[in-house]
Amino acid sequence: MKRQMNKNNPRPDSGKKSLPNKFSAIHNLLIQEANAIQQLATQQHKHFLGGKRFRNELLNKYKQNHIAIVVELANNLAVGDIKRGTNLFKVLGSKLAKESLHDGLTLEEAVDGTIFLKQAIWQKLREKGLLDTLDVEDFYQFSFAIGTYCDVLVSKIAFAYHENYIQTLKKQAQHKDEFMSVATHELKTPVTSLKAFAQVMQSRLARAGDEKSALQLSKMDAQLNKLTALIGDLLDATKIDTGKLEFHQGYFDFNELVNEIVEEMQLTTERHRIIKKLSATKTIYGDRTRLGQVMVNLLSNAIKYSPHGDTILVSTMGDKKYITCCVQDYGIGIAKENHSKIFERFQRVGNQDTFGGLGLGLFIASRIIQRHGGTMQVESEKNKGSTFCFTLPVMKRNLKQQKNTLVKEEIKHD
Amino acid sequence: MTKKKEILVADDDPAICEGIAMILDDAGYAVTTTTDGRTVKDVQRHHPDLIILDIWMSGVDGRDICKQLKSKKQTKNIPIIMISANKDTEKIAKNAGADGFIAKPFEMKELLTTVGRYVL
Repeated sequence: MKRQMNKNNPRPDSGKKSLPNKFSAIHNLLIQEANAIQQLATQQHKHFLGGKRFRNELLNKYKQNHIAIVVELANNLAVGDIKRGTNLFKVLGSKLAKESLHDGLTLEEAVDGTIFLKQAIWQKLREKGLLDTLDVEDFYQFSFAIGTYCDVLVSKIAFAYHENYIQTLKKQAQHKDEFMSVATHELKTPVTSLKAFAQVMQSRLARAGDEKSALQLSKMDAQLNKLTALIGDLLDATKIDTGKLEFHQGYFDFNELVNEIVEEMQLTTERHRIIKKLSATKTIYGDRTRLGQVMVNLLSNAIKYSPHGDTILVSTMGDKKYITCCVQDYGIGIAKENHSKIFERFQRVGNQDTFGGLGLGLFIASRIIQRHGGTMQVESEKNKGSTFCFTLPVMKRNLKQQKNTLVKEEIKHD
Repeated sequence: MTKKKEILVADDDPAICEGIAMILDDAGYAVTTTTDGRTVKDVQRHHPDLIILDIWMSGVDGRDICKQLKSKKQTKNIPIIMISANKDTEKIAKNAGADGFIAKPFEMKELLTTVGRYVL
């Protein structure tokens, strides 16, 4: 360790030679007592050197490191050289952090060595009466040098640990991404064959005139679609976390999308009638599929949470800048105190015991709207029903700048 | 009676092969299936009218097979539809030079429409 440190100090004794006489006594004492100071520090350092967590080989290595730190501090006491000393301790700190990380020390274990060392140095100097020989100015200079070097060492170690932690988090997020991607693929594979069998059997039974069995198989197929949607939600929620939810934006007729989704969702319920009140046709800029996903989510919630209601209202309105779409049901509603929570992950609108669900739908929907630069609101009263509205900006067409943006985005997605 | 159009289905999952084969068989196509991606290269001999090709086939990469078939004079005219549960199936199929794509899980109608686009 000492040899390595000297590499960074081309003239190992230069500190000593340029040292003003006023510090030479302290310098000599630190060199002579380096071992004793280390031992003094070790007595306090219960986390690491005082404990039994590490094997002797490792303990000895760190004891040697600490002795080397004391020697290095002694060699760099000259205040005139504070800049050079600081740089030296920065390098030393990074090196120590690398070693501690490699050896599996916690941050506490890694920095306590240095903190207790500083205390031990002061204790030893006081014991030997050396501090009394310094005048106020020199005392300040000495204390400044020791303090600065030890702080640099600690902050370098802490910084390296923090960086390492961030890297670990990034790796974990990447593993999670990869896992979710593989898991989704694996979950979709059996659903694919199940759907194929269900559909082909449905069509065979329908041809054979067994309408009842055919209908049951179409219900099975619809359930498989729900399963597919849940798998998709799980993947989307993970992607929102890592900011990797893909968007493919373009211009499209918003009311046309609403009509399509309403028609599709009407097929899933016999009890409810979905009534549309749409404003004049409006072309907006956004991801048609993702906004369709939001509509499906709001409508399936409206159906799900109004088991005794029979009407669902879908309306659109807009001006030159914004378009608003609302889905209103007359179902179980949401108590006021829960309004702020419902767009959070794993929150479910209704009574958790009687209504199932992953609690991801509104979380994903609200994030999709946010990514479009829009907002989502809820108005609801318990036992009276809920109205969910989202407002989206309408980007004007025939603007060169936006046309360019569109082209750029299309290229980016290719 | 005209000869049935031949379709080769390659997917490492036997249940998916069977499901697709049932749908296409009912629709009047002659279907051959394989769960071993390596055998797809032998199509030169059989020369099907269309290939439905999975992307990940237990150690065999459907993209490589697609590229190989599209680079050979004898096979480059066989339409290839790539099929996968991957979210980027469309992009992957396009990059591999495939003619079309189907994302898993699919609707029966979607499969028949896509197939019908390439074999009449």
